[in-house]
Amino acid sequence: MELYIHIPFCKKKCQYCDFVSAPGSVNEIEKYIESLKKEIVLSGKKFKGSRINTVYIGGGTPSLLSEDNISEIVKALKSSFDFSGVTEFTIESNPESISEEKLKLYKDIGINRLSVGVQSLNDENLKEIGRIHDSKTALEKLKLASEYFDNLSCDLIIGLPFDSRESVKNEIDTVAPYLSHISMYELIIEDGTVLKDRVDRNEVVLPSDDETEELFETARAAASENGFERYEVSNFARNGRISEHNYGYWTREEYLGLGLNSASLIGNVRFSNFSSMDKYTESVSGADSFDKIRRENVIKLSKKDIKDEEIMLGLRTMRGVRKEIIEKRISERLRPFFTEKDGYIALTEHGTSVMNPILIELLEM
Amino acid sequence: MDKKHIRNFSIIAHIDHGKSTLADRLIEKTGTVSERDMSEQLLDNMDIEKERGITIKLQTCRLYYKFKGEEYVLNLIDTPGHVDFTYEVSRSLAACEGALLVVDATQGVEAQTLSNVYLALDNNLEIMPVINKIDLASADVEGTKLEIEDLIGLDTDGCPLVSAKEGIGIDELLDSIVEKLPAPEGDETAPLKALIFDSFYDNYRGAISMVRIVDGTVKAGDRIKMMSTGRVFDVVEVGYFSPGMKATDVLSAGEVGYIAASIKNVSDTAVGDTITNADVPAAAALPGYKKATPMVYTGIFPADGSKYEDLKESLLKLQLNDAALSFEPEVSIALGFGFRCGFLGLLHMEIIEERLEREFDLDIITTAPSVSYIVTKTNGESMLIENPTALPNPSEVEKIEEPVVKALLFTPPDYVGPIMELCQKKRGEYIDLTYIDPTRVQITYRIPLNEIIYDFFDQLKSKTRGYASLDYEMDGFQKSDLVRLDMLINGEMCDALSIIVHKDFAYQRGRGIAERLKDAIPRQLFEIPIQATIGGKIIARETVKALRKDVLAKCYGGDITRKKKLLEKQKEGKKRMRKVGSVEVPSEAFISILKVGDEE
Repeated sequence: MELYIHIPFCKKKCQYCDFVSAPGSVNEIEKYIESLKKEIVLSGKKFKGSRINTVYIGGGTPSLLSEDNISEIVKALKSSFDFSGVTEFTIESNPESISEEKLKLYKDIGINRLSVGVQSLNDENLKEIGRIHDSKTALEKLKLASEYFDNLSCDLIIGLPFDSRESVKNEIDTVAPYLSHISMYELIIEDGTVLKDRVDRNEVVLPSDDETEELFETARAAASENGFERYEVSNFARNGRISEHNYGYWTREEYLGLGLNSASLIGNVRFSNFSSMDKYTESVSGADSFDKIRRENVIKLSKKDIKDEEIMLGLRTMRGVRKEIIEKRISERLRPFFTEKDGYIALTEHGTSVMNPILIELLEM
Repeated sequence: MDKKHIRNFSIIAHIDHGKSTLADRLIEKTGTVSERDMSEQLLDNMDIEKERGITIKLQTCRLYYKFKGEEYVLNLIDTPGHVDFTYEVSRSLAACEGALLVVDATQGVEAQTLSNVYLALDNNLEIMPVINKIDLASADVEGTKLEIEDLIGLDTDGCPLVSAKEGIGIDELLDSIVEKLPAPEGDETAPLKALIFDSFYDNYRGAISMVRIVDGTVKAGDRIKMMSTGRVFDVVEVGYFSPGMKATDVLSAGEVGYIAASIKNVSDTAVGDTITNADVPAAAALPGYKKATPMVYTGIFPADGSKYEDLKESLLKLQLNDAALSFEPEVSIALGFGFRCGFLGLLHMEIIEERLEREFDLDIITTAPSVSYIVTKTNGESMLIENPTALPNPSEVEKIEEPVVKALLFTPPDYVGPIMELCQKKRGEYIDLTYIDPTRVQITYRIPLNEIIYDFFDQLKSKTRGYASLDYEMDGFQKSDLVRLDMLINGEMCDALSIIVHKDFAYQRGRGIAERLKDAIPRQLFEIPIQATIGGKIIARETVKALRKDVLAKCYGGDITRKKKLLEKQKEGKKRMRKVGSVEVPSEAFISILKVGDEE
């Protein structure tokens, strides 16, 4: 089983962000950690025999938490779950909150993988989307982090207002030497975000879909030149050091999400913790067992749901989906978008770029 | 009732000249409706009418007014305010002896006013000018009077000067109505002759005829006969409007009121028809009855194919109140099941479309409006074509004739050039140009209706900054060089996009539509060619390029449900699309070709 722990705090909300995260006061953070620890303990009791393979502390900005806070969370995790089989233990960070002390601590408490939210190396871009660091800090911290973590990843957003093919290639060439893994996301303008308002008012002009695809092509090529292999729509790994935790999501491993708004897949049931802080803390403090914690979006998956998920998630990976699951759904006109290898059917590179309409046709059947 | 104490009159006015407000004031002053119940513009009772400030369905109202100690009955008969409804206007005028010609003192006489004045004169009405909006600073009472005298030849000496909005001059106006408008004539003892000037559907009483009794009397229990069809009905109730329906014992010659006779269908109460007594019938019907003929046709389809029955129900309900609306089932390969609907004109069409969407909450797709064509085949057979797809193969066509209108355009002199240019471009044939006064010109053209329903109004508006107005009447058919323009989407013909167009315009129209379609059809997995063709010959081509990127490249972590929701949303969007071959075409694409504007 995989464990995900959510830290919903950040120093300042980014303009594109629609995740459950917000700046928190010391009190709020303390209160949240109390609930989280209780949920960890109750979950540990419920899944006593389960071996944990991967752990991921995500956010928000987990690196914002003090050394003490992180220590007590990890302590609670280790005393509640069987960590003997953990091969990958990741924490997310932002350049501005990385420090040598924290890096040392992370290493000491068993974290073996660090993900850094660099997003862009163009200061105009960073300012435009409301990030609080600059490119100089980002590079310094990446360098520092690489001294402590050889399994080091960074997140980049492609398709920002000031991106060009040159800048994107340059960005990847610059960060690559420090990294074992790169995630490249697209800037998606979500309703209710500051960026959405600004785009609507024409204050921010983003590249067109075609331009963004060209930027991605450039980025993919640059990643490949630096020895990174694409193994999922947005993820690239060097020397096979993929994110095992995330790969589990696409291959439908069981995972348990702890903390505000975290999603879980246990058996054939998907569920989430509440996304409202008050509801979440109330629900945990009122429960005396894992099963008593109230959840939302509880969905029991049917056989069809599971098959659909296998296709929808599996096609995100470059390995693809087992042939027998998908073969019959691929119509003659869709065939050019697929390739077959070793009993698996995967999307071609172009097919991956236009996955949504293909999925809709596949899932209709 | 003593005919000497009855006055039947209409109000003629240009849109915005204050007809409805004046009607409200008359109702209020005569105490027909208490001030508290007065809602602005009582007589216009449909939402769309209130919003557009026009009358579509007729309203009528009986007012009681005391003059020199005697009580008079004043029957106000409202007239629809648009060129599409000229026939209805003429029938309601035929029910009156007099008409108030309301002229805005700040605007003067306008095109619409003139055409209705001519209608009133045709019906031998006594026309009494009323100058409105005299309270406004920009009012020019003397200039307006002169204009009325010069243009229409009416004596304006002592004509009522009012402000309907402020209630000024209303008593004097009521006095003048009694003094100057003639009382009705007619013989109560003669066989019944009642003119239907409007009808509407009442959920409890069925189709109700609004009538002017010309001769004779009618009361509950009488057997009546519709003289155009010979159909016989038993009268359940007679009455008048005040403004609600009020039953009365009898309606006799000179009076205006309603007849309810458990009639199921408004088509049995056709406007202009004569009602007589079935047992003692009149020898001849009143003159002037015309069957309503649709001039403009369009296909109406439910945006959601499963709503076909709802659309049918809604059209049936609208037809109950609107005998001029015609429809019959139509099947389109692209749009599925729907209806070919016929309308009196463009406004009539827009109103029906709006009512379907607003009152019946339907999402509809309408195809490009078309007119009816008389097609003579090479074998001598003649047919009436209301749907472009029904046009026979060019090799079988001897000739095509299209309806033509006589268009009267009124404009300040500055825009004469642009208007004539527009009319020429729209295949107009110049007839006449007259200066009404130094500030206004009347231009007359013969123009194919096909061109009028296309984008004539929009262009006229933009070329004259809204200063010019257009009025038209049907003026027969003429032979024209017409072709059918078809659109191919990915090689498949899309029947809902076919139009009939003059040969000279086919190329630019085809190109225009192809361009619009290219913008309206979203990019898909494969490249989509869009072609415009005439008789198999391709005259324009555009391409919707294949999609390059549509993938969720955002980190949602373990929140799979968000990914699913996004796909669901895209899937929902797809459901609203129509399939032409393997291509998804959004409903808006069909509407966008209606909006093909100027191809200059």
